[in-house]
Amino acid sequence: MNNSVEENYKRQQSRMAYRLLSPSILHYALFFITPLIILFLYSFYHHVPGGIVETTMSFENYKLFFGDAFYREILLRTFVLGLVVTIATLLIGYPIAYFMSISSERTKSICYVLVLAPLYTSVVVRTYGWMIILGRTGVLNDILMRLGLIDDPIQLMYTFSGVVITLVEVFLPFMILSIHSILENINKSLVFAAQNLGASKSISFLLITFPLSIPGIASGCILVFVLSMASFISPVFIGGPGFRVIPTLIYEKAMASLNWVLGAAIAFSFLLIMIIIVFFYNKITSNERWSTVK
Amino acid sequence: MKNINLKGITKKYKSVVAVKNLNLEVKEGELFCLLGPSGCGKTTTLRMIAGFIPPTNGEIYIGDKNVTNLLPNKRDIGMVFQDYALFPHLSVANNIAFGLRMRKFDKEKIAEKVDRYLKIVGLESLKNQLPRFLSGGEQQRVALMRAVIIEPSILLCDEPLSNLDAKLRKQMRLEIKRIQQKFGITTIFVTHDQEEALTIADRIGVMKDGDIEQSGVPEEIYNFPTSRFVADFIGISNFFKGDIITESKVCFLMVSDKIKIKLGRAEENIYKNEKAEIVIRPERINITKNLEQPGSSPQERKDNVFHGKIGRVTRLGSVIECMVEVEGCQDVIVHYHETNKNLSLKENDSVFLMWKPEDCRLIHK
Repeated sequence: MNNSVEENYKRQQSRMAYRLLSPSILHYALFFITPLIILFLYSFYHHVPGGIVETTMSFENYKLFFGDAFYREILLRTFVLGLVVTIATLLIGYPIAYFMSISSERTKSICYVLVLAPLYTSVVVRTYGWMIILGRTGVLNDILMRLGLIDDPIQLMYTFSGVVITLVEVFLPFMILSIHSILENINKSLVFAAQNLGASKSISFLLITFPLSIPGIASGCILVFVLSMASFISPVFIGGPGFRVIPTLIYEKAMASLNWVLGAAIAFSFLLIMIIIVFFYNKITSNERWSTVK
Repeated sequence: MKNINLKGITKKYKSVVAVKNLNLEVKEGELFCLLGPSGCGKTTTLRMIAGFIPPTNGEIYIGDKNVTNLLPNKRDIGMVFQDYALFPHLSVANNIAFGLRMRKFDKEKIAEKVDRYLKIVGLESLKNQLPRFLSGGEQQRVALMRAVIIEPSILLCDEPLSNLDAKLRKQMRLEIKRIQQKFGITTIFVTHDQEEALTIADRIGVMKDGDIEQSGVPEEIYNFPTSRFVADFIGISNFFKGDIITESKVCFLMVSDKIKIKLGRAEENIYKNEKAEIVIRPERINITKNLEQPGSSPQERKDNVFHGKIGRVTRLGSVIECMVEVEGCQDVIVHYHETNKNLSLKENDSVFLMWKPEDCRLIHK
């Protein structure tokens, strides 16, 4: 036992840290990890119609999910939904985040309140709001018809577009805040330096500000992408019963068909796919060139 | 190479006046230091010249051209920023090449010129590194090269050395001077470090509250401060306040009943004010334990000799600073070089102070 003082100190520090963490570790283990393990076991069990589960292990549920074109189409739709929502929030969110970063402190704080305000309201409430706006006789169609832009109401409820519009609104704050936090930290004298060296405002944005904001875009995009693929409320309310994505499918299998084991298998397949996507995404975007902004 | 002319520029921020009706001419090829405490408006002035902020009033000329309303990217000015402002996502070579790219030079010419300039500061080997892997001094050199490679008519330096440690700072300021002279660029150098200004500047402008208080060559600024502020800001000063009296064409400053400082001959109306203030630099004061010691001329022993007691002795490198308590006035700071072997002063020693009348500088407010 010839520990150095430093090692001893470090050991004491980490012991302290674990002691402080123990309540949350316990909580997670009991109420998150354990159910997850049970669910994982279920995904290998056998389903007997009528909600009965036989504890014989096999891959049949996974085979069923990946082998069926119907399920694959739902998986693809979920993926496309995530992608479209992400691109749309990026295109709308970036200019807002940029505007905030070049605004005065006063304007900036007003923008903050406006961006954050929706987050104080439940998604369920906001989705009901969107139902009123998007309906055939809803606010949006009413305005468009009064303006003479359309003759007949456009169908937005129970469509892919309707779900996208709602999800963009729901996840926009996450995109704006991710990008804004990075833009805000970009040294202002970099833009001055670029202009001083002969770059116009637009060139200095393209060559300096935009490349340096890529970490913000990257984190905003993955956040919105994962959240919108996993979203449940908007697809159910706005998409309706005919609009199926993975989260609604899991719900349907587990709660309506009482096929818990298939639901569990789909849930775990989906989780695995998400993990793989996030893993490779991080690999690509953690290029050291973009990793610091100073 | 062009001159810079600021004609009555003013910058107001709501209720605050950052720069007040400032007039300044910097000659071609000159290195001009704007020196002043933080908040005196020196950086604001520099940013107005660069074009990052518009002046509220006044005009800025570079050469014969009025650039007051010109965009920063059209001004042909090189600038070195306090935090260097190197583009973190571009390599050293691409940072330096940025200005040339904007000027649409062709690729081979850019590569050749970048290599040549990297060689000037000995950074060829770091060409492909990202700035954050460079030390402070290296980043500083890259920033300097990035500014001068475009061969601007004007170079602006905004406290470029303040983020470096003391030793590197001294080395870099000579390097900046060398490069400035090599290219002969008209340069405005902003700093709050008086030593830096005195070392590298051709001329110094001391700024206070948004205006230039005094400008001149370093010797002039140091030896002939015209205001208390300049005397106080640059170097260490002893100030004496009192009434001016004239006895047979010779002026004296009566600090108190016991202290009567001879100022030299009364010329014209220089000393007509009743109340006045003078400044004496600590190194202009002779200190001795014994008046009979060699080194002081009989004349010196007659004028301005005061008795005092040493309050505190501090070593400032090779110079030793004494705080001397003199009856009838405030404490006097005296500097002497350590090679002055005859002196080994310690606290409570009884000493004589003496100085020449012509070393007293009368200052106006």
